[in-house]
Amino acid sequence: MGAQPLGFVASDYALAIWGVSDLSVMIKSNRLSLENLFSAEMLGDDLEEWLDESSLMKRTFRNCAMISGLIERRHPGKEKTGRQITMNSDLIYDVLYAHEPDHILIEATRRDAAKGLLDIERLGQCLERIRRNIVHMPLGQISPLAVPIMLEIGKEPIFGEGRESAMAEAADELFREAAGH
Amino acid sequence: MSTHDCSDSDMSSDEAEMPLIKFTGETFTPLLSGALFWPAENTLLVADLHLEKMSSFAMHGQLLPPYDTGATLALLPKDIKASGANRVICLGDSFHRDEGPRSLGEQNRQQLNNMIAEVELLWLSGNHDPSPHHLGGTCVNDIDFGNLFLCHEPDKKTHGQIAGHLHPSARIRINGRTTQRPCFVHDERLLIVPAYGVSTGTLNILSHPFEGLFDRNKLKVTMLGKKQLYPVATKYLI
Repeated sequence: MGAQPLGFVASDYALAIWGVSDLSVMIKSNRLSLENLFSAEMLGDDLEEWLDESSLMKRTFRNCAMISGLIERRHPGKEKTGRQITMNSDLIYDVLYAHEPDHILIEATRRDAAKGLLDIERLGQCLERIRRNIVHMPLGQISPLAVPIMLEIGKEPIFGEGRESAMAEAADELFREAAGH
Repeated sequence: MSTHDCSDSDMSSDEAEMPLIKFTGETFTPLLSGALFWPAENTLLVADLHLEKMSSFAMHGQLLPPYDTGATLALLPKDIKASGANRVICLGDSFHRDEGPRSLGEQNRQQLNNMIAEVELLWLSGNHDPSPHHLGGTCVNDIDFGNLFLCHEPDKKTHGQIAGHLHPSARIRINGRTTQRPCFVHDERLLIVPAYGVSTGTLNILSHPFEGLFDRNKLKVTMLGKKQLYPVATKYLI
């Protein structure tokens, strides 16, 4: 939708999404449709594709890799031994996902993510229930139910257009600096 | 000023997505993969392949998936084809361990042989792989091109040095967004190429190991985006 989202975080009561563009203005001017955003159709292939590359999956994978003994957790103050090498589990996930997408650890990660972090079936029911019942209300300040979530802001980053746009802007600035000389 | 990352014409034309790096009078084309193409010598420079990294962990009983070697070796022919280079120079740490060349699997050996049949391959020694090997190509400590000196570890005095070793990445913050990506970094004296291997991590160019290497006022940073390279304003670095 081109809103360049940067991250999201959810609690039992609230879901927060933040982005580069002013989402509220986009919703008001119908450039961003809340109905489409919360459409149950989003639960199909798009979700799976996004999930496979998300930090959510990578974090779940880290747990799976740790349980299987593939990597070991390093504790502060404890010296590194031969077996304990700092290995970025994200890199292992990427390599394993590219070459053995059916690997038992990837499969376990998928299941853990589907059950533990998001229950697709319940989510589908919820989306069905709220369809055409969404009220958009821009607020002048944070609502009470949103306070706990604001404390967790930044927890779940989205590495998409929003992040690229940061580099693009920094590149534009360099161009302006160079042109100004 | 003759050493801007991107001259005005680069940015305004269709070539905006292909920034150039100008260093000690030479012009280079940085590639999205982290390779640096040197058109005047028709040479592709890559640093820190760290081949056999995962399998070297297996020696210590840590069984990590070993596909990184094949994945890294599969990237190189693409860059060779795209750039049209007839020479590839690996700037050291090509193998994660000095014994790496011996643990190389049959398939990966074939990948290498195919490459050596196409291009001249030069291996510089690195701290991880100091000894020469017999995989094909030529093993040397460093290469002196006169105005340019290619080696693995950057030092604080050599002029016109191109090195790897540090796996540079840039972290920028702009309007509340932070992003960290591998990058090419240079001033008028030294150019450091990002790590090419798929299993490599990165180090922020503002972190301690980079201290004293660059003249902060002359620093040029080219970040690797997902689809294009970004020469970024250094005031956003954090």
